[in-house]
Amino acid sequence: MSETKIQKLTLVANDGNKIEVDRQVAEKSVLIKNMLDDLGDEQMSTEVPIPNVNDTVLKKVIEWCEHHKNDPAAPQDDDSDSRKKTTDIDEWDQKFMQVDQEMLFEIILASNYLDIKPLLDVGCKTVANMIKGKSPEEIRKTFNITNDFTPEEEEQIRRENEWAEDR
Amino acid sequence: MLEHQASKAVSAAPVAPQMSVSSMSQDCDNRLSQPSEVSNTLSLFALERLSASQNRIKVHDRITPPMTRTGRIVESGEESADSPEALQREFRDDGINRDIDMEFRAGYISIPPSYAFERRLDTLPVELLLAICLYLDVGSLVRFAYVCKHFYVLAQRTLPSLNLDRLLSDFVSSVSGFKRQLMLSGLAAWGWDDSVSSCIGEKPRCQVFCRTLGDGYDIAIYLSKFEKYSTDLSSTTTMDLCTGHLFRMVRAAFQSGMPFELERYDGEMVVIDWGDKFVGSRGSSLLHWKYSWGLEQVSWTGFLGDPSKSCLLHKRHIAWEDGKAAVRGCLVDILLCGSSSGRFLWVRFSAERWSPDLWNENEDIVREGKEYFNSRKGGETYR
Repeated sequence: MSETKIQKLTLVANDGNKIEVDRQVAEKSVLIKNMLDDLGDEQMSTEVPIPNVNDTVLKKVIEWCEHHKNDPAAPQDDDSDSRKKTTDIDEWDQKFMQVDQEMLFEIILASNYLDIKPLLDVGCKTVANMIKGKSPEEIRKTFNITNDFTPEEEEQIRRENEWAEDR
Repeated sequence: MLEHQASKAVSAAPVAPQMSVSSMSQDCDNRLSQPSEVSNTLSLFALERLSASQNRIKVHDRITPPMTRTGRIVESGEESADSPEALQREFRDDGINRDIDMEFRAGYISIPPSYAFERRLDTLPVELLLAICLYLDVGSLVRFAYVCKHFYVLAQRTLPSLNLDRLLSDFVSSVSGFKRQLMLSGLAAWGWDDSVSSCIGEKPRCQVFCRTLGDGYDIAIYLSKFEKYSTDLSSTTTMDLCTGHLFRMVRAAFQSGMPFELERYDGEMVVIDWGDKFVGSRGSSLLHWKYSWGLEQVSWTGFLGDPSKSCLLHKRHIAWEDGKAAVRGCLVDILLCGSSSGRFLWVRFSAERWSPDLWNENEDIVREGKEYFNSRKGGETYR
């Protein structure tokens, strides 16, 4: 018996907007891929709700998946790669990540939810690169984070680091 | 009331440069109907943008000139002569309409700061923040820890349990004893003399680790259990003093004219001892360095106290040659950081040539190196 594989999927964002994508693109998401594998094409509706991701972010994620659809699958055992953590990001991904911070964090959250590890890695690397080389105060300003250390705690921190300062 | 309104307007206003000029301008127009409100709010806008501009300048001016210009401050209560068009033009000049391709070609791309977003870095789930921390070098992780309490806890979780363990693991798996010895002899602080040793009673124990990091590698000198050697000071103070001395010594070594380029390596260990710290005039520290190049003993004396107060060192090449392989790199960073069990002196290189295979060779030299080192250190066993 011949089985017709679904070639197109419609992803439904949490605001109800629908985006049609190639199956190959959608399967960059391990979440979607597993769902397709588990349910089988017969039981699978071509509409896949993505309740945690809004339309704008979903489009952005799909854009990334489209571009990387032919990339080889990352090895499952990826512990080893953590031994060589590099924050190098290829040129296309760097430009792709040129978004405001909110979108950047939404992409990270969406890639985590959809289980798109390479995209999650790119997002984490982008944030790490924004942190690297900055002083705590610069990090606070960049990310609009409030310093909630008390003056006493700050003094303690200063003392902890005093020995590393020029004198 | 006005203050409340202005504050509300600012908190909701799209002041961050990511917003489009038109939407920002419209938003301002709609909300700021009264002149006093305009000026009051503008002052806050201006201050916000001033802060943003200053921030960007701080962050990037080491690399390229800042793209944004400093915002001007409108005092509270003053009438603003700026029309919406002028305001719009100013936002545009501030870099809202950025040419990303141009920025990319210029060598950096900045992501503008966030001021009015609900989704901020510190609102990300812990597991994602930890994933981000994994990509930080130790120095950045330490600075990250001092941003806020939440990050402090995250960094504490990351630093000892992930980075340092991985560091050790990397070291064991990828660095043979010979290279370890060579690094140890080249960078670790053996042969403590006078002031330093008097502080701690005995020589401190050091271990040197290395890990690959992309196309570069880190070398870490781990100073362990200093408190064990403490005699006259509290353990924390002793450790801090010793590591502080070591930090400055290593930094001075790289800033000095010491021949760190070991291209003549011929199988003999290259050993650098540092010690004899003096206090020079004008409060500067004066260091006296002794090191040996094979059998040749060389001394060097120099001042410490880099006026730039920067941890970034002059770039110097370092190379190890053993006839079969070489690793060269530029020292790009050196810093100290702490963990619960000791202190790391972190020396970062970016490799020009790098292959992990270079580190796994020549067990005979490893053995010789150990014997040499152990005999030289008068019984202090190096394993």
